[in-house]
Amino acid sequence: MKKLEPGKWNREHAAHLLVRSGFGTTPARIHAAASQPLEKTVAALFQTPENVEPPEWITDGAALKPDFRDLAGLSDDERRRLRRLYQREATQQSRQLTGWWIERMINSPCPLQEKMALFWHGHFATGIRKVKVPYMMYLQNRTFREHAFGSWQALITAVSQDPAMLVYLDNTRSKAGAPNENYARELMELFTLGEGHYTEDDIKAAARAFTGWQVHTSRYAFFDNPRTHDRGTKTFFGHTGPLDGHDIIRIILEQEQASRFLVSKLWNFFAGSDPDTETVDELARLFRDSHYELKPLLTAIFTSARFYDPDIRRTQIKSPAQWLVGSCIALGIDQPDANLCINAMRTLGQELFSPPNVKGWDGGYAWITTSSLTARYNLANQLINQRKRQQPREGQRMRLQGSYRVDTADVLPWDKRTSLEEARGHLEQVIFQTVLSSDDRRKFDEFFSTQKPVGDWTDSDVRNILHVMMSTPQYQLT
Amino acid sequence: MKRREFIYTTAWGGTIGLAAPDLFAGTGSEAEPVLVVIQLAGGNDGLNTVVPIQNDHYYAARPKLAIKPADTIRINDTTGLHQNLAGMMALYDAGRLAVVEGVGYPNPNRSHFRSTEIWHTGSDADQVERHGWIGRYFDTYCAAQPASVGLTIGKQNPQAFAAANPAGVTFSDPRQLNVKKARGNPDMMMDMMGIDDDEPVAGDSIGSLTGGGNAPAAGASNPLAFLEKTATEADLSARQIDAILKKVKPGRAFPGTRFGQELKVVSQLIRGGMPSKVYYLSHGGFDTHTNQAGAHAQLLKEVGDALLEFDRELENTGQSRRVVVMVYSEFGRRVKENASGGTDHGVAAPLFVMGGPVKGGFYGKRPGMAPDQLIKGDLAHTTDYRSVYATLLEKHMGVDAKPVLLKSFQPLEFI
Repeated sequence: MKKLEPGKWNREHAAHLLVRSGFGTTPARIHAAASQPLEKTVAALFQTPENVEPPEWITDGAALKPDFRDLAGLSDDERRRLRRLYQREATQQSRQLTGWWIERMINSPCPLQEKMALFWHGHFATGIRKVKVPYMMYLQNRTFREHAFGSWQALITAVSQDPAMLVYLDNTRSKAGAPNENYARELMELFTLGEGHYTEDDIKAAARAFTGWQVHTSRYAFFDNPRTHDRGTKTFFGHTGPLDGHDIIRIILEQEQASRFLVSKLWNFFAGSDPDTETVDELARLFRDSHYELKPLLTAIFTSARFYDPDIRRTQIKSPAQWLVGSCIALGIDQPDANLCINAMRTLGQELFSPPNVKGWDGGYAWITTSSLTARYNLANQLINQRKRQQPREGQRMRLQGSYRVDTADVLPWDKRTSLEEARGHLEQVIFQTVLSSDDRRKFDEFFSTQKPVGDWTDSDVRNILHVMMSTPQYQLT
Repeated sequence: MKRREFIYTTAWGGTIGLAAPDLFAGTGSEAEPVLVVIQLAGGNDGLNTVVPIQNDHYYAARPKLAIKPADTIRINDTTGLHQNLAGMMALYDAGRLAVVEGVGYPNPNRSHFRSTEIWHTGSDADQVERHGWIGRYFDTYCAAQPASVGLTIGKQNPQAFAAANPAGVTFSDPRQLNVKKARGNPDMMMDMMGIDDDEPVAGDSIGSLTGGGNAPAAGASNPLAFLEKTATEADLSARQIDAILKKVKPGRAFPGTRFGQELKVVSQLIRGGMPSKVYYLSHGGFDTHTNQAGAHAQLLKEVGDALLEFDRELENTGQSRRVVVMVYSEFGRRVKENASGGTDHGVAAPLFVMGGPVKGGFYGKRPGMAPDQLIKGDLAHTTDYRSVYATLLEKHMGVDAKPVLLKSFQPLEFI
């Protein structure tokens, strides 16, 4: 792909790279990124933290399935009470998991890793309503993070052996003699090749090959069960033999279509629109040549001239995650109220760990409805004006309520308030990470011209200005 | 951006002219067909709703939960309605209630999540469709309609509304549609939010306050223009709903239950000429695994009473002939009761359709209940749920159902 010329690397482009490869950014980070060469900035995007602290409730015992034989001696009432207890705990855990992930998106030193984890969550969509056990969703989330931009083949293998996925697409119930085709079908249709690039016979063969890949009976872990695996001969894409899951994945990746499929989807995710044929051709070739390693592919996308074209910049509708996390970053909220976040993500149509179906989120224009846009305007107001809450009550084990209050002197420091022009310019960078188009600029100029002299702005005035800036169509784009 | 008439100022800061006396009369939308879809979420026990009072297998399978013939409202020799469904019975007697028996689909799925998805997307059990059946109806036939062509009372648009060009207005409380405005000049605040409120003029009817135009196909055209259009439409529907709810007062005392109040709001919106073609409501709590009898009776009472008021309200106000209500559940329940005084997830169940255009009576075939007629302890479905959708689409909404349901299904005779 044609690379962006070094002379064209500037502040605007740096801002574009940071917001698209992450969820939002700050003027200071944009400045730092623009001050070094593009290659260096892109390379730095892949620096992952050494240790990711899991949610509090992840303990050694969490991997063990509850032993339902314990229930045998209990009365109906006791059993019901126990079940309710499990259920309440699972609800708490799943809420905390969501809050934990959103905090990671806001605070991780490697936003691209979280952004890719979100991409994979939408790509290998798996929902807790069917999986039920939050621990399995956590495991999957960890897998997405660990394989965020490593080898695609390794990731597909890990997902094919992921307990949540094995439950979600029923492979754990698939046995020799009675194969379940659900996973085999979606693996090809949604995860690797796309509709029309395989036959029904390929699905049948793949389903047989994946038999025996199941969730362990006593632990939430993968178990390769030789007793339920179909060792017979199968024919898949012209290859005949006693194929197993690994063979299927290998053969799928021999298809050129596999590279084209993922490259298109990734381009769309980061650039915000479908790639042209030439872009697909070039990126797909590069992806195959690098043996399906994702880092060279992403590097090629982020250093390409096309990625910085004017029709790509500030034309993507923010996903709810991008909107929420980006808003927190702009407003300096590092520990948001988890209840507010969970509620916001649901209202805005991107409930984490609960995508609408195996196809994931539609994205793009589909994020915006009359209701969700109204909700975005109102939630912006809520985020800006959230009051400090009390610390968690005694005995309330899990922290769900944040204790933040937006500090307007942080968002707009005093030294940026020497003139209206300066204050406005700073807020524009904080909120939009860019210099707005001349049309938009006129609109905001008109608004700012009605404000008091900058020196007189109170805390409440700044909050109101932030509220106005974030309740705009312009704010929905990145 | 000049405001021309100030009669109502809504919380959006928008205003709406309500001066014309014939505001709610003769609007184009009045003659338009309206569909109200109600999901009894959790899986309603069809057998204890429409009770097969002459079936020995029913009484054998449910020693505790079966409802005695004398405790039902008797419809005919083989059928009694649950005694709390007096409201439904009144509709039946008026010839406005159709019961479609044994509705389901092949290879049934007993997961709430998946079965709901199947009903919402109108798919086969082994297919995943991205869009909902109502969403495809909007995409195919309502492209020029405002977003409020579909209106949901609930937390979020149902999957049934998912579409290539998503439409739909959602609220659990109409106040949620209002934007909490920032301080400042109202005209300027509207402008900042991307709302073009220059359109409506005093004397315009509410029914014609529609944003109009299409959402661009995904990836196409100008996202900013799309956002501004949506903001304007959000404002318009909020103002429409606000104005209608203030102006159109309920003529009957709807039950104070949440469901009753939701149906009250729907009746007001229909009467007020809201341009919505489909209303979507959901009533939860039907997942009766334990101690079913009391809870189920209460739920059915809430449903029956509210629906009767709704029907009467529409009948009294001359709206009934354009409104059809479908009441369904994602599945019925297992024939045999469980050990906790409840029933587990099942499959086929009766479905209700009611309203002015409906020809009352029983449709479809009641599934047999002899042990050898059951599939894994469940009733075998006799009518595909999409035949019901096809009937509603073709005979009520007046469109070809095939692009919506993706296949042909034989319409039934209840309309």
